[in-house]
Amino acid sequence: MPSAFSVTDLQRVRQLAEALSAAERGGPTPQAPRPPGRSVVGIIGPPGVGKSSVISELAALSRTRGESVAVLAVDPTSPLTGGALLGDRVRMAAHSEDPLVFVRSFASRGHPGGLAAAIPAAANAALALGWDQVFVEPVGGGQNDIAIASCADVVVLLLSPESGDEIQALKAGVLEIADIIVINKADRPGASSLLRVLESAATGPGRPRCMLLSVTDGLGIKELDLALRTPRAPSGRGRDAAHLASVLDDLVGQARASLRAPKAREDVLRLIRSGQRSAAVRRIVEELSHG
Amino acid sequence: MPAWTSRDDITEFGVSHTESGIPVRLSYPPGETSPLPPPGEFPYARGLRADGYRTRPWTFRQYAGFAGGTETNERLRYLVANGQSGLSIALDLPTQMGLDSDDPRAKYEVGRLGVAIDCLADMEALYDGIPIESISSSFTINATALVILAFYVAMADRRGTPREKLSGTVQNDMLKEFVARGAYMYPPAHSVRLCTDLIEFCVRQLPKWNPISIAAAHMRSAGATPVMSDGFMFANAIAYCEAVLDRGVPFDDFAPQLSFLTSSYKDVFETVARFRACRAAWAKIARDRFGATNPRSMTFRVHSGGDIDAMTAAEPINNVARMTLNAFGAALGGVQSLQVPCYDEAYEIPTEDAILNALRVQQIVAFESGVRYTADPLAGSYFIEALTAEVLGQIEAIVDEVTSTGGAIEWITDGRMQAAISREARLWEERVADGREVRVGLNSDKHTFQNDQELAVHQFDPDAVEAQVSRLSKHRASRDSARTAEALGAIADAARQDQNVMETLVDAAKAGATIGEISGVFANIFGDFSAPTGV
Amino acid sequence: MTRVLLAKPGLDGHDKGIKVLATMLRDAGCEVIYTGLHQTPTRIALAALQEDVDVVGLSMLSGAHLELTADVISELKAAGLSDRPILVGGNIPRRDIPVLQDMGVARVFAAGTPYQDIIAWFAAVPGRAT
Repeated sequence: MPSAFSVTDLQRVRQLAEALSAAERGGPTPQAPRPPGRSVVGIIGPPGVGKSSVISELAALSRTRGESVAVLAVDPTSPLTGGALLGDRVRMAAHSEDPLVFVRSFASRGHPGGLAAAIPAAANAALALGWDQVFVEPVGGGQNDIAIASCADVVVLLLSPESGDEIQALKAGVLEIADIIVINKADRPGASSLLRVLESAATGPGRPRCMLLSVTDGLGIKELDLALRTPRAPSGRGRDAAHLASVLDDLVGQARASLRAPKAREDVLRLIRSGQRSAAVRRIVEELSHG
Repeated sequence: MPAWTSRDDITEFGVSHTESGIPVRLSYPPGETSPLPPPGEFPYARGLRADGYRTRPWTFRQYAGFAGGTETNERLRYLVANGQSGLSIALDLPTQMGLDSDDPRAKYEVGRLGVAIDCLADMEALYDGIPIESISSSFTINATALVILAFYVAMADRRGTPREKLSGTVQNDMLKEFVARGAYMYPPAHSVRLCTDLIEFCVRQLPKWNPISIAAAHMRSAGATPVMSDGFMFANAIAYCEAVLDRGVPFDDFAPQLSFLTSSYKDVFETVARFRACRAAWAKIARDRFGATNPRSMTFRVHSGGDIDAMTAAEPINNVARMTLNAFGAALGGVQSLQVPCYDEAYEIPTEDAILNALRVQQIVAFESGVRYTADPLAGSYFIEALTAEVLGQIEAIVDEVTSTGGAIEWITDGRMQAAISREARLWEERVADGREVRVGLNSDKHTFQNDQELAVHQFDPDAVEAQVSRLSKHRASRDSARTAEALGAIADAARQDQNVMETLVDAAKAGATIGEISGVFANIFGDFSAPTGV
Repeated sequence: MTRVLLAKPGLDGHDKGIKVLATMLRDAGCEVIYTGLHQTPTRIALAALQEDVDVVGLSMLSGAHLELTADVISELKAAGLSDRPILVGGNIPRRDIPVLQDMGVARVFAAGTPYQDIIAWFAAVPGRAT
């Protein structure tokens, strides 16, 4: 049977697929200065809040403008088995026959902070290869996962009317890195009052914009899309901290990887068992600097 | 911790724990449970009828294997001529999924698992010469149940058969499709709305039709424990009832037409306790949650389906023993209608011999075992009474948990129900893999199992598909397309305005609309949906 | 790190087996992408390409496995993925196993195959993106 896709589209998809795999291997990836008007959008929020659905709706709007879309979604790797179930594709089914909505599922592979180590390079590669809009969806539920702010140009925090209690639990960091706070499922009770709480909390320069959204009613999605496309000065709120946290996450990720060497791992475990925790840390640093 | 048990709790099935993971004691003392009201009285745990099976046994219902296409009408006529009073119609997957036979997505599946019904003309060809005023028909159909029923009603109208004489069943239970069987198209809330339209239509116009068969059996097949599947079945039932009540139809007007599908499984004692507990659970839901006053609204009318998962391809003759226990458990449990699996069903579409054998098993249990002596023969057993109370408690705990945390539609939309079932499925397969789930002749005997049975699958007949597609294209060319378009527009209006769509579907059927066109109208308005997988 | 795509082509909605397999493969250390029900060969090939998986597993219980597998193979070829091994499972009669293998299917697991055997086969596929 004839393929449903054009050769040109398939080539573009294959090029990005290979670049992303290179990023996962830690190999060289295409890099270029960020073209104007193109951005990496990070979508964060608690599990079940509708991150994938919102990305799917935004992607649909991008496609009506003829833009290509790359979605990079991260799911957790099991620390015990190293395996992962990557489920975000199912929630993007509306675009499953459109080659120019590119969905890649990443396993976190032990990287802390809700991202995979490959994500910053992968997002840059997608832009460098001419993909117009890049969405990054980190692992859901991290209350202190601010790494996204170091690789996204715009961070959208998605909440639901039921998130009222969670606001207390959300560490200040997550609220501080958000450029836009969206209350999804705004057709449910409690949305407006939560909006008022958030608006009154967000004051001062660089404060996040707060808005309501309901994917089922089509409410607010065009406004969110417009807000994402409106150039704005980087707020800077929490961004330095996020960059620093991200670098530290890289360090932890590399440290974890270096301990795959059996000798180093055994040395460190022996030190820990004998109660010499500081020595164990020094041994890891030593392994890192040699590796 | 949930207030219900899991396969994870089982130390040794059939010794220390039941199939659903309920712990069993060495012996049960008297006096722990108070006697239940007699059979035929609320809450009906001991049976719907005071006389049990004395007047008549349960209904023996076995599938008749079906061919596809034009052979099917000949087969139906043959069955009717030989005295069969109810027909069971299997429909192919495209018909179940709202796709016309010429849809590219239907490629390879037209006519494969049943007959293809694209339009009213196909329904009329299927029933040519069959007296629908005296023959009842059962359709295993869910997402397109209302389209199939509309074709059937349109056929009756054109024949001049009064609608109130039509009798039959459509499964029409969409919620379990999202968690178990997978034949769904639109999001759960919209799907329930369409189920509701069909129920309301039947209550008002087709008094002899069963508009829904609310099913646990498919969820158990997908991995749920039997008790968990029963709990979710009632949670789903409550969602349907709430939707019908929202239409302004009083509970006592529609509840007597509701029927249920949950099955007898290998654990005979748990099976008996489950059927007893299910009757009590439903009676209490009907009376206490919905304020039913008509006793018929409180009766849990149940069909026990065939437990195909229990059949082994190894040493298939052993399956007859399993079938006998299955039928005996269902009879002790007091079901209204029963299908037992066929001994060859693990590896092929049942042969005529195997179907006859299954019927014989039912008859032997009914007429040679004494199971009809008295209503609820195991009543008063300390064990059975304790188990019934435990199962009822677990079912009520599941129903409370689901209804107090958003209800069935929300549990299915966000995947909580799927996740609970998937977890049990994994435990089930692990138990089979390491032999803890004993399957005699398969994983528990000494000699190595070699499957020498050839698996038979439905053959694909390209000629039959071509004939069906060509009939369809002729049909499209010959109809009054302006009239068809107008009828489809009326469906869209009714769907958008939250009016009952059934009558517009019957009109569209008469105007030559196809199942794919009608389903397309709904898809445009409701959108499509991918259910969370639960893993 | 073996990346696995699991898919159900066609209209058949019985996914207990493929979901149990997905969780078992995860526990065996694979990265598993399950695409959900009702996938067309086109969608499966596009998913395999975008996700750059090492192996594709198909499960079919409707009897349409010969035709659907041929279409998936053809789409994978068009996407330049002829080198990725394909596994087929489900209700597969023995006589169809050589037919599938002639099409290029690397391995067929008929109904009733112990899960351990299937896991072992997947685990032996070398990962590319590590």
